[in-house]
Amino acid sequence: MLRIENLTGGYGRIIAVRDVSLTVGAGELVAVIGRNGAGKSTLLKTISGVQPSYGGSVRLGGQELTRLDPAARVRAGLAHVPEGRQLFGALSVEDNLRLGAHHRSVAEADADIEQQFDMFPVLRERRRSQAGALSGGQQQMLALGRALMAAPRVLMLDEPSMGLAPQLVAQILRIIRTLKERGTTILLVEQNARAALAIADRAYVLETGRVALEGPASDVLQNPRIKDLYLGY
Amino acid sequence: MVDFLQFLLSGITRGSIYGLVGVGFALIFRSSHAINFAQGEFVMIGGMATVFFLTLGLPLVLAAAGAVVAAALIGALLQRLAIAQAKNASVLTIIIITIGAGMMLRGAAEIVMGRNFHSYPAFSGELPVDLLGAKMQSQSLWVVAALVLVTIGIHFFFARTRLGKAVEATFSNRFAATVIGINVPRILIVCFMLSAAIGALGGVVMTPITLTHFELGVPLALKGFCAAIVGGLTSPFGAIIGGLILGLSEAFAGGYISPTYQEAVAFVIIIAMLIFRPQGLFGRRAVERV
Repeated sequence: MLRIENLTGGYGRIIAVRDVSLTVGAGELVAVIGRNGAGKSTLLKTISGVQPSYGGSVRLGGQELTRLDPAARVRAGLAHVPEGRQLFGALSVEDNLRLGAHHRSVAEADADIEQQFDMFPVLRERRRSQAGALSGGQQQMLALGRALMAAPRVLMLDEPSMGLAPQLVAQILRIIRTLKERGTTILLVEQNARAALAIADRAYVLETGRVALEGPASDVLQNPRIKDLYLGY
Repeated sequence: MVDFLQFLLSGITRGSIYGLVGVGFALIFRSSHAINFAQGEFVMIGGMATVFFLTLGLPLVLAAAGAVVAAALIGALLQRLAIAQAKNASVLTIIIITIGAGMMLRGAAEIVMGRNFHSYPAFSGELPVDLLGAKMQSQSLWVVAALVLVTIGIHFFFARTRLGKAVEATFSNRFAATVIGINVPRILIVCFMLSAAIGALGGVVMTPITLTHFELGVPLALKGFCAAIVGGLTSPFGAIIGGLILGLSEAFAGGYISPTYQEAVAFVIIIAMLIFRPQGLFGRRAVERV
């Protein structure tokens, strides 16, 4: 579904992602793990086009996205939930959700917003509240819901567990698993390697901008070096 | 009593003019966090272009519409050719670009229309309207009507249209707007076009009262900026209220104190606002929880 080849990207002259190739099959949940500064977020930003790429290609279901702007990539079916939620804090919960579907028809948005409210009942209760006034966990749900409103073919999640209490982390992970069970194709970036590997089908380990290891999530979980470096035992 | 009423009417006229100028500042600030110091020039273009189209023999309605459209196009060009090019420039750089653009537009107007004052007849004749003994030019009613129209239009735009929501989103978090696929460059162009068109509409209706001139925009921009500051910069409605407050203050200061001090009122208000209420009367503070 999503095929990244030799992608290179960064900020100005700093190269943060170098020659990364990865694929996410339809319905698959693929995790990218790595430490702080390994280039995980830059990878997602380069895929979604909010950061320029310096080389390589991004393809989605056979469509070449490399030269498209971020808006066109969203229309092609690529949704990105950025690190730190990045909501429209001054706008209402409902406005945030509807903005996620701003390139679709109002009828489609009306239908989908009910789906999001069924999935995240707390958002229905707080639909008129300012997004900035929600708790961290609710904000993460809103960020997810907003991305789902685009009816994406591939959902990219950047550190959805960041800054959340353990109980909420578990809840967010459950939601991600539910999304996968419903057939959503997901590329999940996480620093919380144990959590990510527990729900992923396959995983890539990113080190200083390069893919250091890839394989089925269970293999990566058993890899002694990964245990040492990322799992802390 | 007649005096009071007279000052009130003249204050409302002035205030509506300032409000129409101020709205443009608020709209641009709302989209790009920058101050567009060429905003006064769009007001000037509104009047000047109407004069130009009238001399070509167009009827008033078409001349006025043409002037508004022309200003909107110039606004789009300014955004696209000058401001969008300075991609990651600081807000200060963008402000300086708009100051330069303002100079250029004044220069162009001087070349095309000369250094003279221009005007055209009031839309509904020159007879003043009499209100309980106080007199008001009939054209003032057109100015007030334009302000009401703009107020309703802006409310509809932000509350009801998707484009309006997308503008709000871009202002709230530009990165997030890009990520969810809002075409941010297009939003910025739309905002410049809107504020240029509103400024030009102000120019169209005020010219029979104020006359127009290639440098008309400079003092007007100052007053409009003051109106926007009073309203809190982020709020178009605030700018309209701010304009009315400023216009009424000027009219009463001129009437009851001395016309000499009238022009100082705007400065006094700006300084007072910056000291006592820097976020303006209607400045909105977003709640952000981290």
